[in-house]
Amino acid sequence: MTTYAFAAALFTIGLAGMALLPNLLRKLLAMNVMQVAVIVFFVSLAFKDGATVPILGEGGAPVAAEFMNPLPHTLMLTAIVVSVSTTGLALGLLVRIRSRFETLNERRLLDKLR
Amino acid sequence: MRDVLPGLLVALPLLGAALIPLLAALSRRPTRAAALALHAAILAAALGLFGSAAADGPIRYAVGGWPGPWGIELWFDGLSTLIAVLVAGMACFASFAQTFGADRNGAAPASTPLREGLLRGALLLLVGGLLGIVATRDVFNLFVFLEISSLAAYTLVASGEGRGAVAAFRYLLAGTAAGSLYLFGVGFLYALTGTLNMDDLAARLPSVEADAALTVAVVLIAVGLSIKAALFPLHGWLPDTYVYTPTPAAGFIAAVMAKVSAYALLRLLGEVLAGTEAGAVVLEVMIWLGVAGVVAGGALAVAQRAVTRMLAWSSISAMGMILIGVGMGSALAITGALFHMAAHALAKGCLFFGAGGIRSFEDGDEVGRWAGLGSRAPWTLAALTVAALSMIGIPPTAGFFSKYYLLSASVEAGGPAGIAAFAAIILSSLLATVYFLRVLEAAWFRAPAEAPDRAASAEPPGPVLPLPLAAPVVGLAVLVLLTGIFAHPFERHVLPDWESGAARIAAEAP
Repeated sequence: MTTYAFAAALFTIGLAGMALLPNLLRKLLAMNVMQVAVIVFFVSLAFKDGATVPILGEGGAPVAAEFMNPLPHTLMLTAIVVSVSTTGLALGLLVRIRSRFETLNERRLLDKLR
Repeated sequence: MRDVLPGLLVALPLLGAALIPLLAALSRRPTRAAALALHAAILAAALGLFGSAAADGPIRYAVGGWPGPWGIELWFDGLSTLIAVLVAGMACFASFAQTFGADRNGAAPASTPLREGLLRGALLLLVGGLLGIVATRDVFNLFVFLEISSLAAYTLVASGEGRGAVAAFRYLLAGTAAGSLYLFGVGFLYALTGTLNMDDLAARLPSVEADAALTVAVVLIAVGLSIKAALFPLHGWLPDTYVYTPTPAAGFIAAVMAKVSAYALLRLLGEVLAGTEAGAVVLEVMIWLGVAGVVAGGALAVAQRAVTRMLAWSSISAMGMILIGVGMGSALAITGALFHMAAHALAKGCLFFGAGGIRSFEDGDEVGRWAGLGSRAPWTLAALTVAALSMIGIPPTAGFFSKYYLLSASVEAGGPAGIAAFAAIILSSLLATVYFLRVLEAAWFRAPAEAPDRAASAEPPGPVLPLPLAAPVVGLAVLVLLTGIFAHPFERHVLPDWESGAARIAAEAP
């Protein structure tokens, strides 16, 4: 339960940062915090105390209660890849914005665009 | 054919996206031909699936031979194949337009063969992502395709000079927030049901206790997809994105991008989650937000002086109308929403190709720049006029019939929401008359603006649009007319399939 509350808090912090921070790079970092919050949520969703990876051991019938559900964890591998590519593209955009407008501050940028 | 086409429809564009830039590094001309041929092949696959689904019923395709609910399934019924044809068809026009390079809004998008190849690759990736969203039956797979299409779209938006990068960055922030909200919602759904397959979800949800977690899941998914679909008041990313995207990509993105997300909303909220208590409330709210968006988008379009920005605000109005149809959820309303997706995509694509080209070649985007264009390029302007009339909703263009269906659905729905939707759609037509007639009046009846530099050089003014843009403009206008003229047979032969699709939605959601 605490991890769920933690994920929700992280998500809110990230979303608020994206909306409120004045610097575009900080907005991007806040976006990463938000994405990590979703990953924390999925990972904690499938976590179980005392359980292990679902690989059959020697002998005996497997007991479902002894295993963690691997699906949410594997889904997050894809989500991490998505997040990495989005961050890479965003950084590329920031380099172009910085080299053209010589600022990453949103207010100054809007002044220049007017 | 039914075994091969579903896989090809998604695999072809993704493969092409990787191969076309490689080919471009070697040589330019074959790249153009190959890209066009690839888009034509994708359209052929979409048409084949459309015909097959209409003739022999929906197609369920298990990717990699793993059946659902464990594997990822693709699902092709009347609904999804129609949107797939729309996406693939618009992509053909956009690929043709990409041959046109000297766009002011994108300094030199096609300056080098490799750059042109990369932009063509990005368009193919975008098409692959959108077709994936349309086809998939797996909610996590939908997230992945949503992000693939978004990443490709950010690249295309940023390929314009200067301000394109700023518009793309803001779009990226909004799009990623939307994707994360959606994924968070999917996590809740998985925790509640233990499945990601839409059919499985629809089957299991009725036995899930309606508690806070389900409400949170529904709201997160609805808000996430509504941002992507530019539902008022979550439309903030749209105007700048449409205005600063280079013309070839803008014609495509403005035509289908938000609509595919609206389709995803229809699938998830109208079909899978419609039976839940929270889902019903969200759909009701969506009607009211749609009404607000229709009115606000139309009013702000009137207030714009730049033509492309006016078109962007009119898109927000149109998305509101589509989401009103999704929210009402009756067979008539869904028919209207789908018909409006098609009608608006064709007309708005036509207008963006035209207005974007005119912005580049007439050195400006103000309404005054359109003065006298009618006498210089009568065919192009006639085509743009047809598209504008469709946006207003004059028969026999496609726009008339989509509004007619949506108005009938509003009357059928009744109640305060029905009355509000009816009034908003009528008002939006009046507002569209105001803002489009202003442009058309300038184009047809006003004398060309004084151009001292041109008079001094004594050069006769060239054609308004180069062929790669003029051909899509005229072609799309013809399609707008044909869709309108054949709306009745369309309704008789194709709509029963949609209606049964809607009935299935109603039957599956108790």
